[in-house]
Amino acid sequence: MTERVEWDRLADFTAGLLDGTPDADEVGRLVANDPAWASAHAQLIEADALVRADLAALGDTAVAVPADVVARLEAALSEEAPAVRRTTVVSLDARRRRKRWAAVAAVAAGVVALGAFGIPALRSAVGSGSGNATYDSNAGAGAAAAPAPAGEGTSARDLTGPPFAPGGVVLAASGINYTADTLPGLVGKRSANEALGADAGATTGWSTAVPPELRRLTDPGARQVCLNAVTTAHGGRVVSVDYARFEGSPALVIVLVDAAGTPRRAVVTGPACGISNADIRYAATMR
Amino acid sequence: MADDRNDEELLRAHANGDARAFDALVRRHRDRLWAVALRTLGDREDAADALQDALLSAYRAAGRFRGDSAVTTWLHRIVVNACLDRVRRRQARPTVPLPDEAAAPYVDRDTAMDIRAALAQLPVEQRAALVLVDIHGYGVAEAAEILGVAEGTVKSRCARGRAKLAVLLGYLRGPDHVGNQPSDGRVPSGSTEEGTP
Repeated sequence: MTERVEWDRLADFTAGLLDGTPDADEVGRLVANDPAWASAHAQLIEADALVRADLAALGDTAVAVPADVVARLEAALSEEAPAVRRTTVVSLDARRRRKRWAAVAAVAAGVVALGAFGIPALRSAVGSGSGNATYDSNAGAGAAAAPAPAGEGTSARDLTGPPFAPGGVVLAASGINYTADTLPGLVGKRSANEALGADAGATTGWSTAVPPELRRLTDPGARQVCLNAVTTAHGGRVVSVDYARFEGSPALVIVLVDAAGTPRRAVVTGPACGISNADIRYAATMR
Repeated sequence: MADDRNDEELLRAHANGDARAFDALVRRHRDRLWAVALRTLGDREDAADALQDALLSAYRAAGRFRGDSAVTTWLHRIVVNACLDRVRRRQARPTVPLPDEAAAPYVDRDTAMDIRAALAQLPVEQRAALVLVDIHGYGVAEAAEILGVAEGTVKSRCARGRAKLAVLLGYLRGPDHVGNQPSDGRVPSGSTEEGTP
């Protein structure tokens, strides 16, 4: 009579792991007397060697950490180092806002610039193609320091400077539902309010104010991968990120400045930002 | 420029406030740690999350490293634990191919992909043991230390995992020859793995 082959048991037996136990005798009897067990045992010995060889060959294949993962790891570790903190969470809760005023002041130049210039006009560039939108080199006080307009075959990536504004990136969870029409005014107004410490209307804390779909992007590493993807596509430096909504959907509203610190673009990204690309939903160029 | 301090010196220096020491340690080992995470989890994003969690844990726990094991063993243990935690949290979520590794040069791409797909079907404990021992060449004793289990358990996980892979890769002939090979490639568990000596 043939008994059902128990592969785990047979594998242990074949590896000698049952030696010295009563079970070794029992499995040995099955292998000796049962054709199915005998066949399985013989095949398993041969197959074990083949599988080992396959796995060893897989191990011979070099695997390097992808560049985006390296960037993410480095960002997460630099966030961990107290002396190297580069981002500052700005809650709209009044108490926390007061505590963080000094940090906000560090980026006041960029933020106040938004209010000062009032984002006079935005030229929309829906989609992620940075080639559709160009910076106007004649706009704003920073025009003299700004590079030439991005032309055919030239992207906004030509803007120089580090990917993050000196002193950190202002983070907020305003709860605002931006639209293509209201984005210019609301971004300017909200940014100015933050810089002045005024009540922007939200009283919830940071963690509860972030839409659930965007929670992944509160992780410093994931956020930096996202912001890197955005600056790769649009150039400039990030000065603020609002975990908000755009036309009803959860979205990050990111403000970019040029090398002179002049606001140049507002970029709206979706929750998948940084996973495979920047997940850009809308972009508007300031002029 | 590469830091010529050994791993333990770097870890101690980091614990004592050397701002560059941990980065040097990570640069030295990150590819290998990434490969272990990627092959254990079978998913790029999960592997990135696990590696990030693990390195942050190591960063914070460096001061508690007692030197009972090599620093690399300690780092691997933290990475593997992060991987196992992640798998246990997403038990029902299917695995996907490994895009990065699939893009790496390999003498027989189809075979490599078959092996990765088959690995993804193993219970994660068996997969982790095979990744360490058969793929990365760790000895059973060190793998046991990394996994926090007895050496016999590592041997059993490897033996049973290889048997499953043999079925999945077609190295075992059909059911006519072996009686009752499970149709889904799963090995029936007649005994408990953890009870293996």
